[in-house]
Amino acid sequence: MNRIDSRTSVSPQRIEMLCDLERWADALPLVSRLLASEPENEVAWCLLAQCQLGLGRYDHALSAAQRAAALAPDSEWPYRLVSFAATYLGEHEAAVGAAREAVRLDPDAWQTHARLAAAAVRQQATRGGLNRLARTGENEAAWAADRALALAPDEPQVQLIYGTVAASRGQRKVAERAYRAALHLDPQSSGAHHLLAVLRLRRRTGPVALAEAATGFATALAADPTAQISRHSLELTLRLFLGRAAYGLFVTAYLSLLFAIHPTPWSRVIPILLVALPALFVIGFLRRLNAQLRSFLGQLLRCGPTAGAVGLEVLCVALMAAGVFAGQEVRPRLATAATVIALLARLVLWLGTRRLRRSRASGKPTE
Amino acid sequence: METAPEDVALRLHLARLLSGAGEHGEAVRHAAVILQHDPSHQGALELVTGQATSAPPALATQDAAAPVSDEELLRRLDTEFTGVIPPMYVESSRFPGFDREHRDDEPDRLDELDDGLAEILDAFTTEVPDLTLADVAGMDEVKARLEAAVLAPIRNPDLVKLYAKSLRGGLLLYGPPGCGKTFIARALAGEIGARLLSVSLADVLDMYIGQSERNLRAIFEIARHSAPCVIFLDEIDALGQKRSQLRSSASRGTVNQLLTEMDGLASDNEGVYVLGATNHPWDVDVALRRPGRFDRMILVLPPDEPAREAVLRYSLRDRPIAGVDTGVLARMTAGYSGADLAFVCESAAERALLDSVRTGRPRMIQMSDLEAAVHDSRPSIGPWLQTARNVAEFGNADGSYDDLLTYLRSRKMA
Repeated sequence: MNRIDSRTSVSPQRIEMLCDLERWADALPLVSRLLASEPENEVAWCLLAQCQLGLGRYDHALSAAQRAAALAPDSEWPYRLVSFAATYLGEHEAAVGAAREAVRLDPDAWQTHARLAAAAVRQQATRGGLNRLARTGENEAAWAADRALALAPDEPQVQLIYGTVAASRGQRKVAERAYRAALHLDPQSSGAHHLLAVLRLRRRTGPVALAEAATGFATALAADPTAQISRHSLELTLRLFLGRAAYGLFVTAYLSLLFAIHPTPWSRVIPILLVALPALFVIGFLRRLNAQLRSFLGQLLRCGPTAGAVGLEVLCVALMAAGVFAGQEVRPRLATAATVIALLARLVLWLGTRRLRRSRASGKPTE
Repeated sequence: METAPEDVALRLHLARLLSGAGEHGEAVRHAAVILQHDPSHQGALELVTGQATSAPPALATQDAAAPVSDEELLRRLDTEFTGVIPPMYVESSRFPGFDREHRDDEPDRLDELDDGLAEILDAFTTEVPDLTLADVAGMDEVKARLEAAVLAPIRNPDLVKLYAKSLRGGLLLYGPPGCGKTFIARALAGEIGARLLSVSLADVLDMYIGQSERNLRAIFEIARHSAPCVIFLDEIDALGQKRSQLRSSASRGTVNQLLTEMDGLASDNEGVYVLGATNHPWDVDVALRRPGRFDRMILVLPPDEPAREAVLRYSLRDRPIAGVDTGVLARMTAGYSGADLAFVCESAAERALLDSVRTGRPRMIQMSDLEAAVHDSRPSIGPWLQTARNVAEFGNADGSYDDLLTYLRSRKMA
């Protein structure tokens, strides 16, 4: 291998360049070498913390950042790194405390305010939205996000944090505007696509909103294929659609049963009209998906329990259709069978969704 | 023949008639057309070899003097019918512009480099790898793609001229880590007999502003002066990362410089072939994958069964083994990368070593050690496949990752 030896000498700038390229594993040995020769170098300790954060070793990152903070108590960077690591370790109190210290040390840096906002909003989410402490956190997050935005309105990261804080306060329009601003600044922002999709999913529940959310998650994945959380959310969205379609079918089957037990002159036609409602829901959703998403949905439908649930739903529709042409004495029995089968299909899908929620993928650092 | 150009029997008959009439060159031309469609056609082969002994006067007089060996006969046939029948085998020295002998004359051109570049050249060594694609076990599909994308144009300069195609460009090898991308790049350079300039991030990255760009320019300048040359950019996702992901302008400048050099705007890149390798093609700047740059991508997958067996044999070559069936192990290790297989052998050796220490009696590495090592290990490419699945399913609008999608579907992952 060719090497220009003179350029392999360890310098913090060189390590920073590797960190900028997110080559954490390449940077780590260089940091170690730098620390071996300069154990009191606070920048080296910060770089070590940054590498450890990038590699997902949050406890190591916390130790390194704390060491840096001890060596340079007047610098904001070590405290910001402490705050990052503490957030990922679930120590939200410590994360907010360190972020406050960073803000105190450098109130003119947008990074410190953005960190405080992010740490506070996470803390607030863990406390729940109603108690007094949560409201305090909410105010602190909002104040820090406002300040960060005022200092750096052209930073996509700041727009994302501002939007997240707004969303946590129920200001969905403000949040959407901020996410769109982030997307405008960085069209490849996976985070913005993801958060917009989440927002869309929370605002509306119809087939259009579901399809738009699914498309948003897929776009986020295309922009950053390592964002497994977007894949997880996409799968959840598609399961949500299947669940709602199954629920609609169950209601239809149940109403058909009622009409079969209490016959009217329209008893034969009404089930057909009722089935049209979930069918329209399904068609409305599917026609808004692109080919890749349809293929992904098809793949989801083919796997294990979901395939079983879809089979049950087809059977349910077949029984309801048979009921239309069957005699009065058979119709209640067919409708009962269809209702039970629809309920079973709904149950299978619900269990699948619950299992997926529990295996929630961990997200990637966004700052 | 004009009305039925594909009638083989008719063409053979015509060739025989021409041969009988003494029109040997024309007869061989028709036989060659038949052989292009069916290389094993007996009649055409007989005609060609029959012509060989009688047709060329120079050859005939030599043949009359003494019997010649088969090898000599084939060599003479190649000489005689150059341009009529494609040679069965070609050596690197036959590739125009990628000639080993030609290469030896080249260092003089490096003297033309200015002082700054010459200084950097001192730190680099260009080499012609002694590997060829024949040294790459298995991976027939990859070899076929390399043949089509790189070797065939180099081997057929007349056709390249006819179609006004240039002998420059880039090829991106991508796939999971530890699956032999670097090895294949070296083998490819060896196959075409070109110098290989292997470049990694460490060779380019410099802390001083503008120096990384200068390093990159120097590398391409050296390659141009060393042409024919293959520049191998390992981990191209680091050198050519998406500019939107980069925070510092210095890193963005490096990507811009790479784009400029690949375009060869300021200089001629003829004879300079750029090979890139990456585990993360999705992190490579989109501009680098446009036509004229890395416009072709080849997926290098985990080794297939013959390749796994070869890797296992290689990893066990200097170890004391007894009763090892590498064929069985190769079947047991589907989805393992080359690095995983090397680790399996290492683990098996460790088992035997520990056992020897415990019993006080050295023993050979046995099949049971290797089987246990396989059972205790898992293919390391899982995380890569998780990410690759997202790309193939949602980031494949232009079809760049169709190969990957096919592979994932074959593994029921997509």
